[in-house]
This record gives sequence, structure tokens and C-alpha cells, in this order.
Amino acid sequence: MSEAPTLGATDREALLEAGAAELASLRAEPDGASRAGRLVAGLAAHAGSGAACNAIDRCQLLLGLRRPRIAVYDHTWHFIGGAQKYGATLAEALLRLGDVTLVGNRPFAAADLQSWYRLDLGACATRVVPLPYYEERGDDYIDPARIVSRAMENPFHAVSRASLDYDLFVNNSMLEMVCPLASRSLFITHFPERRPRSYFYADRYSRVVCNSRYTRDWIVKRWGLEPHAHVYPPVDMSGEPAEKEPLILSVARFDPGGNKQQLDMLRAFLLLRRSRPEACRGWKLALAGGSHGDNPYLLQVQDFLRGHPALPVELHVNAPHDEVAGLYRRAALFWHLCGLGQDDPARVEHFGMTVAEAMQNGCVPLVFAGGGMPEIVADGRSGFLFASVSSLLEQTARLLRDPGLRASLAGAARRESRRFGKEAFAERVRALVTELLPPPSAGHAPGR
Amino acid sequence: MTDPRFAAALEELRREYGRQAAAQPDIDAIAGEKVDRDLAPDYWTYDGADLENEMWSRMPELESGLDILSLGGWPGGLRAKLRHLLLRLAGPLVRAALARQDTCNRRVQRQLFLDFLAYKRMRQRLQLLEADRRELLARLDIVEALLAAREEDRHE
Repeated sequence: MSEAPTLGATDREALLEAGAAELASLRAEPDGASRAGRLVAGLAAHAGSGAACNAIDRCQLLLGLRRPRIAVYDHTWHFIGGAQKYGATLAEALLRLGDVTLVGNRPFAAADLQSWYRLDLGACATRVVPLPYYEERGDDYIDPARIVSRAMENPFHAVSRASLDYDLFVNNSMLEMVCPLASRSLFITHFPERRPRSYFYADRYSRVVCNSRYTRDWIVKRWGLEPHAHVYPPVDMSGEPAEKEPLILSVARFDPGGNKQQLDMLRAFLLLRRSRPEACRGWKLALAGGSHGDNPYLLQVQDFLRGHPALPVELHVNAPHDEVAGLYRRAALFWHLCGLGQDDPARVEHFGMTVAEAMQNGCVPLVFAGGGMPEIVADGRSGFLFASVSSLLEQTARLLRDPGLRASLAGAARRESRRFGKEAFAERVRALVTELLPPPSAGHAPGR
Repeated sequence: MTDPRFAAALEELRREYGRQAAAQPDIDAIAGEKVDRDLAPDYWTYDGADLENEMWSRMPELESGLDILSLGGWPGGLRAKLRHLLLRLAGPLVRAALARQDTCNRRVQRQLFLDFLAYKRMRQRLQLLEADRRELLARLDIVEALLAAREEDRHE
């Protein structure tokens, strides 16, 4: 089973760095151009044409001849989602360091990303790298799980080839089958969904980044890799403090498979009202979240509500940003059940961006004690963690009866959620990328 | 200070090697080394690849084979979960693979076996649900027949 040894990411980068430095040293020599040609030819013969391109790119950056070219790849730019927001915010942060191109596989518009995530991506270019395998099948969703064996050609090699055009390639897709050919690369892991099989290249990236400690532990367990850096997702929903209303809020997409467990929330709310009618007087539950197409889970939620018309529940499907922001400002409590009763680690919330958003607005979070949740909520200090519905009901009832406790936890939630702000994210990302790009020399203007 | 002719030469070299890379037939040639490795040797030794290939080639057959999948009306996620299990398992193929005791890695074997049990449990559950559905439909038929008879009586 063993095959020819391959260069690790670090060895390959050291080789290219030496080549680039050697090239750069010829910049003022009278016969520099011809010697550079011989040097690059030798590098190509030894380490492939990709290495020759990488060394020249690196040399151009070392000499300050141009700005770094950065690609941020996601095969799902055309969907709204937390991982996509992570990638788009990362792209915005990197505009200060270089020319950024958003790379996808289906047509998408940077303007959409700007409006969905409230970002300034006007300076980003876009590039679509079609994947003929998926286009020919007419699949609506590019399902990476279809790649199962070496007997099958890797359709994502088209993206690998495109990565050679950049100085830094950021893979925000969790597609470990994209082989980075840029001289430096980042692999953003929102969760290691698949076990390493054929076409596994996550370990060829310069840096593997995880979004939470929970994800980090699974990367170690599933891939045997230790991530280089941990960058929490950007959360920027802070609103002006407002008068809180007797409202319990949930913000989570209506996942067709029921992953976010809104039905369980409705049942829990029903139980809460039946078991503690006095404490619940005047309290409502609001479920907000995105949904698209023919969503069977949303239909079940709607059926449940039709069956319980007296239950005070508001449903906000595909609500615009301002409406959701208003709900956050008004709600006193926030429920998040995702992960409760699940045995598949991928179905547990890996981070929980909406929980952090709620905390930034002074909603007291009551969240499932699993996945990335304990990293966001300090149990008893900035909210409550629960492991069962009965515990959720008990903690909620306690908060409903005690406004003082609500106020104290809300204040702590607001304070402690600042660390997930967009600026903290951008600074962390830029520090990470600055390590990978050569320091700008004279004549090179990296900033905008 | 960089000689402008040197900068131009670099640019030209980059274009030339970019063209060469684009013309390469595979990623290995561009990277100058074999980039793909077997990171799950147990899996491949044990012929997991062949098994999965065969399953993929038989996917339409598998999907249409289990008629109850297409009946619709299953609780959220159940259909997708079953489909996923089917694709991964395909009962007879798994049984054949389990028979290869001599080459089969124990961990993989155990996982496949557990998956297979889960598949069987799911299948049984679906069969029970299907039995309930058929019974309800049968009762509905009776009710409709009674209503029709009553309607006829009224007209008479």
C-alpha cells in the first residue's frame, strides 16, 4: 500500500521559498533574466511546472512587483449559510492584504453576498470554475460524497488547477478533495464530515483552521491532523439595548431533515405552559429561520401549529435581516436545541452563530450542552446549558420567575459575546495570512 | 531596485510555465509528485473500494428496488437517512463483504456490521409503518364504500 514519499506542505514550501529567494537575488544582475530562465527550468524539472509557477509568484511578491492574488473558494456561494458568511467575511478582511477573487462552481454574484451578510465586497472579483461531472448530471446540489474511489476521476481537480493562479488559496468549502497548487493555502474546516479516503488533501494545505474546539477535536479524531489555528466565526449582530419583552426566541434555519429541532422546541414550549401555567403567563415563542423550496420539515412545524392554535407562537420564515435584528432586541430568552438526542457528531451544532448573535443582544441563551455551545455559553454565568428537555424547562421556568437573574445573565451574555465580533475575526484572519505572505518590500503597496 | 527587464522576464516565464501546467494531463504532473495516497489502507485492502463502486453503479436499481421509499409522506429526514444507508450498504453486497473474513479489517468489519444492523432496524420500522399505512388505506376504502352505499340508499 505504501507509495513514493511525498513532500509535506512545509518541505514543499521551504523548497519554493529557497527558489524564490534565489530568483529574487538575480533582480539586478546584468544576465539576471537568462539565469532566471535556467533556474526556473531546473525547478520545473525537479518539482513540476506548478513549483516553477509558485517560485515565480513568490519572487514577484518578494520584490514587491504586484499585490498578492488571493482566492477564496466555496462551492456553495449561491446559498445563504453560516459557513458561507464565514468565507465572505474572510474575503472582506483579506482585501486589505491583496486582490481577492471569490471562486465558486456555480454562477453567483458578489452583490448578493454583500447584501446577505452586510459586507463590503465591491473590490472582490468573482470566478466560476465549472465542474462538468456535476453539470452533466444536472444535480441541483454539488454533492462531494459522490467521490468514493480512485477508480473515479476527481471532478474537483478543475478547482485544484485553478488554485495555481493564486498566491494564496483559501478553501472554505470543507472539500478535502481539492488539492492546493498555490504556493500558500488555508483549509477552513467547519466540520470534518468525511473520513480520509482517496483524494484527501487537507494535509497538503499550509494551514488548517478550525471554527471551534469541538471541530478541532473531531479533526484530530477523524483525520489525525492537529489544526494550526482556531478562528471563531464572525458574529456582528450587536444592537442597541432595548426593553425586553416576554419572548423566547429561536433563530435557526428550517433544515429539511429537522436538524435544528424546532418541532422539539414547540413540544417543549407546550409542556412548559402545561406544567407551569402561572410562570408562562404572557410569554410567547418566536421561531425565525430560513427555508427554501418544498421543505417537509417546515410543513410539519406548520401542521403542529395548526393543531395547537392556542399556543402563542410566532413563525418568521425567511424574515429579512432587520426583522430578525428586531426579534433579537425584543427577546428576553433564546433557545437552541440543535444536538439534543443526536448521536451523529455532524448533527450537533459545531459552533452556533445565532447563539452568539442572541447574546450580543442581551438575550439569555438556554442551549444544548454539546458541540461548540459550551465554548460560547458559560453555564450559570452568561446563560444555561442543558442536556435534557426537563432541564431546559426547569431552567427556563427559573428565568421566567426571576427578572433579576435574567438581567444579570443578559449583561454577562452581552459582555462575553464581544469576543466573537467581526473585527476580532478580521484581525485573527489577517494575522494568520500575514504569516503566509512575504513581507511587503519597497514599491509594493499592500493596503487600500 | 529590480531591473524592469528582469521583471518582464519573470512575467513571461510565469506565463510560459502557467501554460505548461495547464497542458499537463493530471495534477501529479503539475505538482511534480504523486499527490494521492491511500490514507485508509484497511478500507482499500478489504476491497471497500470495489464494494462502493459496485453500489454506485447499482444506485438506480437500489433506489427503485425499495418501492416504499417513493411512497412519500415519511417523517422528515427518515427518507434521506434510509437512502443514505441504502447507498452505503446494499444488504447483499455487505453480506458478501462480511464473508471475506480473512482480508477484512476487524474495525471496518464491525462498523459495516453495525451499519447493516441499523439498516435492518430501519427497514423493519419502515415495513411496520407501511403495514400501518396499508391498513389505514384499507379502512378508508371500507369507509368510502360505506359512504357510497349510504348515498345510494338515500337516492333510492
